Order: sequence, then C-alpha cells, then structure tokens
Amino acid sequence: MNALEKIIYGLSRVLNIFSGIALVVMMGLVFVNVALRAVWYPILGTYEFTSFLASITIALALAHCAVKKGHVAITIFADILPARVQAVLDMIVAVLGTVLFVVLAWQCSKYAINIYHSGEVSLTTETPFYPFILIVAFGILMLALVLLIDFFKSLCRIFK
Amino acid sequence: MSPVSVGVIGLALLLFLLAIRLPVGFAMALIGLSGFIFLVSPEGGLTMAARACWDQFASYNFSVIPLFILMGQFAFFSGISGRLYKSAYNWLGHMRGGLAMATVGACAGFAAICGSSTATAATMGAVSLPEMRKYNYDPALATGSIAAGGSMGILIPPSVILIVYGIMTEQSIGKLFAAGFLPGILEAVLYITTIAIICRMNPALGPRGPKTPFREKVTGIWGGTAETLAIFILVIGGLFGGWFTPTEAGGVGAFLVLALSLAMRRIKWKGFTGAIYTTTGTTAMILIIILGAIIFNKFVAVTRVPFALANWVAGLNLPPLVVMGMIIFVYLIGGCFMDALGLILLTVPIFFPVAIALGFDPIWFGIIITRVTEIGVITPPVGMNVYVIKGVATDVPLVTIFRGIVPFLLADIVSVLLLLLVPQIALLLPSIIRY
Repeated sequence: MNALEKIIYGLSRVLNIFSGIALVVMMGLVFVNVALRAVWYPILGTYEFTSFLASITIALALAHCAVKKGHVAITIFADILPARVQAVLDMIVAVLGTVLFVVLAWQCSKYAINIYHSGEVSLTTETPFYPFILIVAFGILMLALVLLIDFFKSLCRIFK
Repeated sequence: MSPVSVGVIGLALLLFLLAIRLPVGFAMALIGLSGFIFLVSPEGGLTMAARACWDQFASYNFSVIPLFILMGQFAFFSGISGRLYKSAYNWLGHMRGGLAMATVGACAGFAAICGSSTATAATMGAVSLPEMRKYNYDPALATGSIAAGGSMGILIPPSVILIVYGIMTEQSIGKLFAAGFLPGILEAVLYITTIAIICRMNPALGPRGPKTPFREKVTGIWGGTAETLAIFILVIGGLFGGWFTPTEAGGVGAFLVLALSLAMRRIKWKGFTGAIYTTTGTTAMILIIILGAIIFNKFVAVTRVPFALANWVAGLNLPPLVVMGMIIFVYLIGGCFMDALGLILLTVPIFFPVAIALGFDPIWFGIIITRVTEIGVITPPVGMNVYVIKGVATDVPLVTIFRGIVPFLLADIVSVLLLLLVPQIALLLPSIIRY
C-alpha cells in the first residue's frame, strides 16, 4: 500500500515536470512565432502545436495537483462534522472521483483508437491526433489512481 | 419525468456533492455525465464526455490561461510586487492611511500582470503587511485593504474569469479586457477614498509614514512601476490593437517578464521552476473546473432549464433592471459559498440567455457579474482572499479581517450601482478598440 502510494505520487511528480517543460516550450513557440511574423514569416502550424502542447501541459499536471490537494472544493459545510463522518464523506468523494476519471480515461482511449483508425490528422502539419489524445487519457488515469490512494487513506481513517 | 425536472434534481444533487467536499470540477462533470446519460443515451453521454476532455484540453483558446498565469508567476518570483509597493508607498506613504492606499495602488498594478484575486492578495499581503505593522496600522484596516485590493485581480486585465467568460459566450476577450479596465480603476479610486474617509474619522487607524523626497519619488518609479507599465501596455495594447491573439499576448508577456527578470538578475533557477510548477498546478485546477462545467452545461442544455427560465422571466414582465438586480443577488449569495470561477462557469449558461433576452450588452454583463463575484471573494464564510491573508497574518483573528472589510464592501456597493446605472463605464473603451 505504502509502496503503491510512493510509485503513484512519484510518477505524478515526474509527469508534472513534463507538464512544465511543455508549458515553457509553448511559451517559447508562441513568442518566436510572433517575433518571426513581425520581421519575416510565421512558423507553420503554431496554432496546432500550441493546442497540442496545451493538452500535454494540462493532462500531465492533473495528478500532481490532486496529490497537493489543489483541486478546489467547498469545505465550509463538511468541516464542522465529526472526524469519522468526515472520513466516510472523504471515502465517498474518493470513490466517486476514481470512478468518474476511470470512465473518462477509458472513453478517451477509446476515442483515441477511433481517431487512429479513421486516420484523422491536423489541417496544416498533418500531425496525427491520437498520440496526444492518449496522453490526455493517461493523465486522467493517473488522476484516478491518485484518488484511489485517497480512498485507501480515508478507509484507514474510518477504521482507526 | 420532464427534462426540466431532471435538470432541477441534477442541480440539487450537484449542491449536495459540493457540500460533501467533492471538488467543484469533479462534481459538475459527474452530474453532467450521469444526467446526460439518463436523458439522452449511455453511448451519447460517454462519447460527449471523451470529446469534451480532448476539445477543452487541446484548445488553442484555453491555452491563453496557463500563459497569463505564467506571466504573473514570473513577475511574482522576480519580486515585482515589492518594487511596485515601494513606488506606491513613496507617493502615498506620508498621508493618513497612506500605506493602506499604497497597498490598493500596488494591488491594482499587480492585477495588471496577474489574472487572479487570490494570487494578488497573497503577493501584496506578504509585501505590505509587514510595513503596515511597522507603522502601527490598525490590523483590521491593514488586512481589509489587502483583501479588498486583491479582489481587483479578476477585474483589471488580464483576467482568467473574463477569458473563460469570453470563450463560453463567444465574446471578444480583447473587448472584455478593455471593458474591465475603467471599472477596475474606479474600484481602486473608491477603495482609496474609503481609506481616506475612515482615517479622517479616526486618524489612529493609519498613522502617517515618513515623507519621501521628491527626487526619490521620481527615481523610485524606475524601480518597478515603469517596467510593469511598459509590459502591460505592450501586451494588453497589442491585444487591443489587434496585433496579437489573447494566447499570443500571454505568451509574449510571459516571455518578456522572464527575459527582463533574467537580464536584471532578479530570478534564479528556484524562482523559475517555482513559477512553472505553480502555473501547471493552477492550470490543472482551472481546466478541471472548466471541463466539469462544459460537461455539466451539455446536460443543462438538454434539460432546457435555461430556456424555461428565460421564458418564465420574460413572462413576469418585470423591468429589466429588477431582473438584473435579482441575478446580481444570486451571484452575491453564490459568491459567499463558491469560488468565483466555478460560480461563473456554473451560472453563465443559465443567466446569459436571460440577460441577452432582456437587452443587456453581453460585454457589460460579463463585467457586472465579474465585479459582483469579486465581492464574494471577500465576504464570509468562503471569502478566499480572507483565508489567503489569514495565511500571511496568522495572529490576526478572522473576525478582525472581516471587520476590516466592511467599509470596503460599502465601496463595492457604490461601484456596482455605478456600473448598473452608467454602463458606459465598462462599454466606453471596448467601443474604441479594434479587436
């Protein structure tokens, strides 16, 4: 259990680093494109690659954000309840979150496979979409796994 | 069961899930997906949700959000907030309540490169609170002025809320930014006036600081204000002039702030990575809420609740301003319990058609609801800014901070009334710019 937590949290942190790299590359690409357009000619496909980089930035940061409890929740009402009731609520929340994101990750992979078979590519640079959709699916799956750890943790608190 | 009643049940379930601490984005996605499956079909719902994930995450429009956040973070980690405060303090510090006025001024300046209220409050709180302590400022006035000043972060461009509103309602982000500018200035002026009035009534609240020689006042401007202003003019000006898309404005702005900080040796590797990781975390947090709202809104659309509501309101035959007053009231109450972005995303699809049907300007509507949710950021029980400041000023009781906010709430009421009665405050600039 502890080992599982370590692996998932560690992987989330690594993914967050890749998210940061994608962010910096996106900033650089947007700036260079504007600068080149001013003096010469814009970079072909900037629009498409900005969206791809945005999808990587977002998808790979989801899990680490959940590890850091960064996803906004309204705590004002549940905070006044007894600790054990709160632990039960946290368990329900973790189960709902895990199920939701497992379903979304599964559907995104299915979507990626459909796009792969239909051979859909972007307009200008003809880059295939499916690898990026798979990255999004993977990021969402990692978020689900972090929530699964939350579920185990709340179980421990209930039966403590 | 009629679709409208399914919609109402869905909304009630959503409120329940929010109350048991399911994160806002998760709850909206869950209810939206289950409701859509219930009303349409499992196949249709699941495909819709998968498409929504991909379309929102890989959206050129939304890529503007991380870039503007990154710009604010680079500015923050290079210590721009301290220099902004010093400039404002040079000019205002010797007046009664001058440090609090300088806080509001510096908040307005920081809001011009940062799109978030909590970030503005946290940043300026760390800088200005120690100064106000040094000069024995009343803790309520000190913390209240930071909380209120910080709330300007979402009105003065760039603003995450206005970006999201613009994308959802298909309005020009450039025009929305332009529209937020004058109301933001008005707000800062009203806050400064409020401080002047309460310090006149009770001078002990905000003692005068030392007077700065005129020369230093002028040279101090180069320390931080001038470059902030230059980047703001270039980035926002480029957006207004139609040279940049919003994403380009954000990317260029982030790059320039980073380049300037590197050239001046104001940012180190740790600050650089700190800025990036804060940005990726905030981006994930915001985009999950957006994703949830998009999925939820697909469900709301099939329930026909907005249509029914718009029809019902039209049937009431009330004067439009009364209906607008009711909508504003909903945002005031909602803002007390929910964070600004979640509230706007949840409610805009429901109220936007009503506002348009009543003949209100879509740009003006965006500004007025943003202005009103700003109030929610500083009112109990879920005033995010208050908790942020509590984090900086650990020894000041929450009650004292809320007491300090009361006079600024009066100023807020005045500025909302002015915006309601004189829409031109918001609409003058957008009518001039091109983009």
